[in-house]
Amino acid sequence: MKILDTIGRKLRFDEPDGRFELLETERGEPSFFHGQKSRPTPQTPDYRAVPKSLKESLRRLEGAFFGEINTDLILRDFRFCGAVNALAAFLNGMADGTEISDFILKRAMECPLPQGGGELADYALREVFSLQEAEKTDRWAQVEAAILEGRTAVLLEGAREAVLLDTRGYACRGVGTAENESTVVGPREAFHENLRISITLLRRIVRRADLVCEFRDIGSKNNVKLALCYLGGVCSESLLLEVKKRLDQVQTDLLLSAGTLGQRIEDRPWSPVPQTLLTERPDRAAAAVMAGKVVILVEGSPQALILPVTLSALLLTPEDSYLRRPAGSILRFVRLFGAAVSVLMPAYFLALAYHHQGLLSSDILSTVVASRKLVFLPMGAEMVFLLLVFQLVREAGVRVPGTVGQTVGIIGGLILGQAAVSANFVSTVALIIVALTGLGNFVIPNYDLQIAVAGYRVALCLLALSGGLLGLSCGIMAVLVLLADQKSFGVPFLAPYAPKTVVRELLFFRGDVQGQGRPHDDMNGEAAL
Amino acid sequence: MNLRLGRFGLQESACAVGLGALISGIFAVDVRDTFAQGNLCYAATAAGALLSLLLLMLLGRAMARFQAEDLGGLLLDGFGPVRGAALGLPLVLGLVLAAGLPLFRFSLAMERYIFVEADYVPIVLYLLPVLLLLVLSGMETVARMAKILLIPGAVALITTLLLASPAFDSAHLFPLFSPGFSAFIDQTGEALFRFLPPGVALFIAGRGCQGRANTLGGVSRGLLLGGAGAFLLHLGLGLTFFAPDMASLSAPVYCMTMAARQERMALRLDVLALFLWVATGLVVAAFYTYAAALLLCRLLDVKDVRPVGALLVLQVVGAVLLFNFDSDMILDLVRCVYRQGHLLLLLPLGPLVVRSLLQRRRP
Repeated sequence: MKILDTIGRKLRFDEPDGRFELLETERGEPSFFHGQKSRPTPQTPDYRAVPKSLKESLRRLEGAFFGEINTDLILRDFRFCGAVNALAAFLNGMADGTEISDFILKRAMECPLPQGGGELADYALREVFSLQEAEKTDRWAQVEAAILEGRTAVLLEGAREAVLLDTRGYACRGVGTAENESTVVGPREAFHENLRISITLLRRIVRRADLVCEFRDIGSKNNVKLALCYLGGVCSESLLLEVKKRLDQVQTDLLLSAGTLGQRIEDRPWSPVPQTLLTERPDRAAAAVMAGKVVILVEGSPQALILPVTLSALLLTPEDSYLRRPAGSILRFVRLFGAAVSVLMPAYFLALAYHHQGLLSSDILSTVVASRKLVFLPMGAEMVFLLLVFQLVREAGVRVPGTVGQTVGIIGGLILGQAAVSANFVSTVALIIVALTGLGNFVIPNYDLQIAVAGYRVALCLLALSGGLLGLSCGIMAVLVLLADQKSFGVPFLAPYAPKTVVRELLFFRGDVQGQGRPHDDMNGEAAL
Repeated sequence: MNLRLGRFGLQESACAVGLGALISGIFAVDVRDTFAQGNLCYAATAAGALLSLLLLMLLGRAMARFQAEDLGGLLLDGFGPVRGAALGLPLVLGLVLAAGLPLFRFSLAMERYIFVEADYVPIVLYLLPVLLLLVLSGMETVARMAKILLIPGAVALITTLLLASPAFDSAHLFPLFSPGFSAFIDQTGEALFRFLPPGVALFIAGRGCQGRANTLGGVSRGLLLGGAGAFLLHLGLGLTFFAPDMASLSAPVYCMTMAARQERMALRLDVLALFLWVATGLVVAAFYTYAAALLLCRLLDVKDVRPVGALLVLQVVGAVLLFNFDSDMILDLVRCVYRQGHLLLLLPLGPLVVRSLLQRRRP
């Protein structure tokens, strides 16, 4: 009977029973081909309390921070009120030395002992230290985390609580301009590596009481601080829960930027198109917050992560809204046309030239034939080669600094192109098509999407080469299916067009500014059903 | 459970049904037999669409009576697991054939007029991966694709009509109703096989459509829109060609755009329109195939739609390849599918509707 059940279940493609499986090693199961699927070592949370003995605190700090060899950790002992042994612990360079001298050490040494006993930590917090942000804690883990952030921990002999004082004062640059998302009109400011400054930049635009900035620590040991910014009551509760769930699942010791975080919480890591939007512009992040999206700011990263994201959001720029409606619509139309040219033009040309010459007029056909008279490469190879060279020039231009990058672009674009045509390496027609394709690629505002489009372009070229317009149609359909199937944090990637949401704005034309500025949940599909 | 049904709204469902009705209504027509009898197709198309709408409304009413969320549930509730499954199998077969017919016509048109030096088989095999991808992506994606392709589908329809309009001549429609009323009845019956599948497919996927009202709304709006489009195109065909001339063409819609070709046009819009039709046809074929796979899963209690869907995709492509076999038996089979295909759908749906009309509403 059991055997029949098993066979029946297999034939019906039932889900397997949730049986316990003994893994070959404790570190995880081996992968199909080779190697080991890495599994993060589980971290035990530190539930230790702050010890009463100053000696024990000192021992713990020196152990945790490798005090003997780590000269960054400053452990300054002094006598609190001239009577109680105390210790101020902070990281050199992360904390402001003047603040520590003037508002912690000086005041602690000069203050009188409290009358009638009582908790020393309470007394120090209320009457001694005159810093604006201060708190006490009885958890040892918070003491270590605070020191790592640049705060100063004051530990007192016999006290069960430590006092944490905000003395963060590390060197950082001023607020810069947005270099990668530049606009002709509109604000110029860009986000900052300092989380506080970035939040301030956001709050300066969204001056609402319901703008929530939730602070969270990410990572098992590194404790990178990030802020989850959203409009309470507007942002979908289920979206927030999903974002928090995914953030809690991030187990890493190294999180360098918001981009890395985005990769760790997105739905499909192998999808060519981005599923989160990285922006350096506070105005763009503010617009996203007002549209019910979640913005994540990461300490040390001058970009904000906007989620969920849709294709239309990736193709729009803040400038569309700053310009008047006709101008904004024209810009948007030109951008979408450029994107379409960038994806389709080389493949369409190859399909016509290889398989459907009858679709080209005799004038165009004779021009193509004349331009290719002495070119020895086949047209398909020539086109793919030129597309790769274009990516090469572009990548070289990005990697080398400032003016040299522009020079690389000029050398690559003009001299190399001209030389290639003269040497009968490529034809002028192919060069023109690739140049137009490159221009179209540059009007796509999102860098991730530009790279994805470059990949799709080559794939479509190969399909057009093999199957003409049929191959191209099938390729376009496959790309569309992949886009339609994709979701970013539960929101369909092609929303608000398919499926429809409450957004009334058309993709091709900019909407009326009268409707903008009111907070709304942009991706809410239920109201639109 | 991995049925990949997802959730989709009224717009998407109406678009899926509309495109289905448009594509099947135009391309699932047996050109040789239908037009050999004379020019009645445009009238039979309109009558077939309206009759299908009536039948589907009755089916919707049956679902409301049995409080079934989808057609699979209705079959199981109405007839029990064994008889329900037995009655559902003709529906599955009907949907697979309905998916194959437009693809067959497109492949034939491409082989005859676009890739004149290519074989039929490689052309069909190009469609296989996309169809597979669509079906495996599930109904939510198929419905979204239908919405995305609604505008290209409409563009293809309008372009085709505009390109052919210089060749329109009302004299081509005469003699009106020449084959007689019985031929009209026959052709209307055949037209049921073009307009029932999209509605049936949406009823099968009704659970993802967020309520019976949405499903019914999608079916009625989609069928009216798609039926109107198919009627317009058949009327355009009737205005362009004499019926006997049309019977000898393997792809009358493509030939219609060529009938008044502008020699010095910048782009050959006729070819582009054909590929728009192909893209739309792929989505429609995926819609039917997915629905057939879902029904099969529902009836046989299979928990994963992907292997069934993949199997049915292979059957659809196999059918498209088979339809082009140069043998009398296959030709008879194809003719039988065109003429009697609607019986595959009416066989289970008829008793279901009758039974629901006789049954008292559930409390």
